[in-house]
Amino acid sequence: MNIDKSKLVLLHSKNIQLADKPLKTKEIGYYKDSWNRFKKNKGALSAFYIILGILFLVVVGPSMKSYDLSRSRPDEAFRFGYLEPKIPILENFGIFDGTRSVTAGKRFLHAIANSPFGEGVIVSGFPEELVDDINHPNWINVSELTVKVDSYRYTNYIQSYMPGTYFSDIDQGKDPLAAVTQTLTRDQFEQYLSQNYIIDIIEIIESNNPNNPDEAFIQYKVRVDRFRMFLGTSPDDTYFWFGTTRVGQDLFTELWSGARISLIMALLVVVINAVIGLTIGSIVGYYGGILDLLFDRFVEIVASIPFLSVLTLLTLRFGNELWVIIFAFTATGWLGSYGTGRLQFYRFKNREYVLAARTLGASDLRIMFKHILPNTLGLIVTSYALAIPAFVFTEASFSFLGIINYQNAISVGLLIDQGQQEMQTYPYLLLFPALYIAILMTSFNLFGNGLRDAFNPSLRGVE
Amino acid sequence: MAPYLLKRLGLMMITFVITVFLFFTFIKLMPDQYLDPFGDPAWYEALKAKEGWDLPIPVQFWIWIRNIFTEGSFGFSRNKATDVGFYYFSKIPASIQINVIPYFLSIPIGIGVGVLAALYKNKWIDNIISVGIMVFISIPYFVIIVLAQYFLYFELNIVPSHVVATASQFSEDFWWSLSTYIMPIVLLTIVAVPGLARSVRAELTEQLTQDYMLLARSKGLTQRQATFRHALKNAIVPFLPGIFIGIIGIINGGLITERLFRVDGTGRIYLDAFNAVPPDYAMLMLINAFGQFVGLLASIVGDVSYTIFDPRIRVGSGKIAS
Repeated sequence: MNIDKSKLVLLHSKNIQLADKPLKTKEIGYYKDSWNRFKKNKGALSAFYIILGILFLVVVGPSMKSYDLSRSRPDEAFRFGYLEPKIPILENFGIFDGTRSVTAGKRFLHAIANSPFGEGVIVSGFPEELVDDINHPNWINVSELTVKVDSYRYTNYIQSYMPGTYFSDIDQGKDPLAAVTQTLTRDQFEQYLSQNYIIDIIEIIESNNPNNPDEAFIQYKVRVDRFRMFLGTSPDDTYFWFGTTRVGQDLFTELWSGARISLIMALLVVVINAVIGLTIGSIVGYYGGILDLLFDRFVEIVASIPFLSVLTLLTLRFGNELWVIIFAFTATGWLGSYGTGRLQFYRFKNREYVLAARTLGASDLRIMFKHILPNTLGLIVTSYALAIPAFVFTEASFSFLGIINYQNAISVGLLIDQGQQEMQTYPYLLLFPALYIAILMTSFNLFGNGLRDAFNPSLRGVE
Repeated sequence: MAPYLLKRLGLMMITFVITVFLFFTFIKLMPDQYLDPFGDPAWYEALKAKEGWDLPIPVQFWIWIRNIFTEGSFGFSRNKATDVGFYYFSKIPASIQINVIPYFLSIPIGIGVGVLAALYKNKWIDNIISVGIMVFISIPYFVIIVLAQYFLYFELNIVPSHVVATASQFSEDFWWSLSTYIMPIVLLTIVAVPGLARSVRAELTEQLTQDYMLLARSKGLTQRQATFRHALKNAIVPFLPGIFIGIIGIINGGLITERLFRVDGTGRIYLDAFNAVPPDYAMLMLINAFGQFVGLLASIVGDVSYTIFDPRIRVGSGKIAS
């Protein structure tokens, strides 16, 4: 169209200033605004910091302690099972000081109290008069006593110096020290001696050396300090912050390893579910019609299958590899994002801006991913903040039940299960994993709710 | 209503058959399905012929269904050495026993707590309830129960046992055994309350701001009267179907609950069948099929009960705008 420029008239005169004054205040975008709202929610903000702390521990926690005996030599790590939690500084206040109540025979406790190696093993509870005289008349009818011991020194005592079966073995005529003695060759002996492992020598055995009759074959029967030998520290300098499990694994390392695995899997599952669900959901929602009808039937059938069935059948068939678990979680898990995506696309596909884009000749794909998706993203993404704790919850529940049982990985649910079986004697094995999951879940839910309120103020209060 | 119900039932049957056939095929394809003959050889051959183990899987599926209707047999459990159907259904009462009281206790308590929080919104009472709800919803309930077991039984020793009594203990000392049910019931009630309370609170909060409440107040009703006569009814309607669905869910038991309290119920059978070597596939087949049936039935009951409780909703009365 050609317009004669001379016919065009400028309506306002140049003398009048039409320009608006620029705004003095700073511009606040959507995300900045959301962040401001989020900051006002004190609970969600502190939950956010707690999550950051947990994430930090999840990243560095498993490698904070250079203790790998339970992996490199599981048979020796067994000796360091059931060490109570001991944390520096806190131990001075009487909590997490590595002590435990132990019930043992009177004779055995008497032997500990009088042995030089047993110094400091018994913290309290052993009567003074029994230390000097085991046949003290006040305690003549008592054969067993419950005393408070330092579990680190106590473990070292029974593992290195005098086994718990010492007196019953004597009564039965067996060698009472068989469990703690070790027979060394000369070279080994010298090496151990230089490293100060050896407590005392029980016996030196000389036997004939058939190759060289002049030089006899010498073997040393010794007791070695197991803490020094395998951990390189004395019991007093050994700290297992959360204690050790039955087989001598460091609970702190195990807990954070389990947490790491479950959080990585949570992320993977959420991402896979989101990608699959949103892609299918957006296509179905956008095109609708017969596709929608068919997919609706299909989804109805898939959604009716209980997750428990999917999980059990898949693990029975394919074992307990990580990918099987991820597959089980995504097999029905994508339906959630599918529903959200479909609904959002239904809602927005008839909006004016979509019509405008179509009028301008935009392709379907462009409309879907350039125009509609960004508009729905805020709602969709915040719902995933709650999907992570939901995954952690489910994963912990099923590994607690033993249905999820990784072959070479630990999980927090499994730790809680093990702790539950031994909570009577070793409550810390239950308390630490349980506290971890309680704190994690509460903060994630608080954070997720805060995030949702911040991004969608209209949804506030709707649970 | 009737045509709608029939349509739903028909669709349910189709879904049910498809999914159960999927389970069946999947289970039949397990590599350790039949390892070595067990029991008496002649009897084993008879069982094999009866269940048609050497026939194609679709035929086996047909035989499986036929046996259910003609003989009431769901298959033979190798581990329990009995018919799976007989064994499974005999354990349902134990599951109901532990779940039914907490379920019916938790509903009025949950609604009550939710109403209280909504009425005193943003007062201290609401704050306490909201924090409690948040904590109890977030922490997995098995963690709460395990911790409670530890503190109540092992630490404070104020409950008779941390698990429920077995049948033989019941015949020995009835009252003591009955008292072991107190802690599980209280705990299961406590963990069931927050979910309902939170929904009721949110729903009632919204109803209290509706126009009809303003009208009721302007006609002279007190806040209390208006709330209980009008708002509460509307607020509870969305949850009634869920409550009905929950009743059906009770018979399915709960894996975690039964494991925690060592209940000899259906959940335990599932774990036994899962952990057996080789797994008890006949039992798993029945449990999965039964769970599927219960789930589908529950969804229909839920839909239908909507119309009963809320006359505004007419299911099946034409297209519902999505």
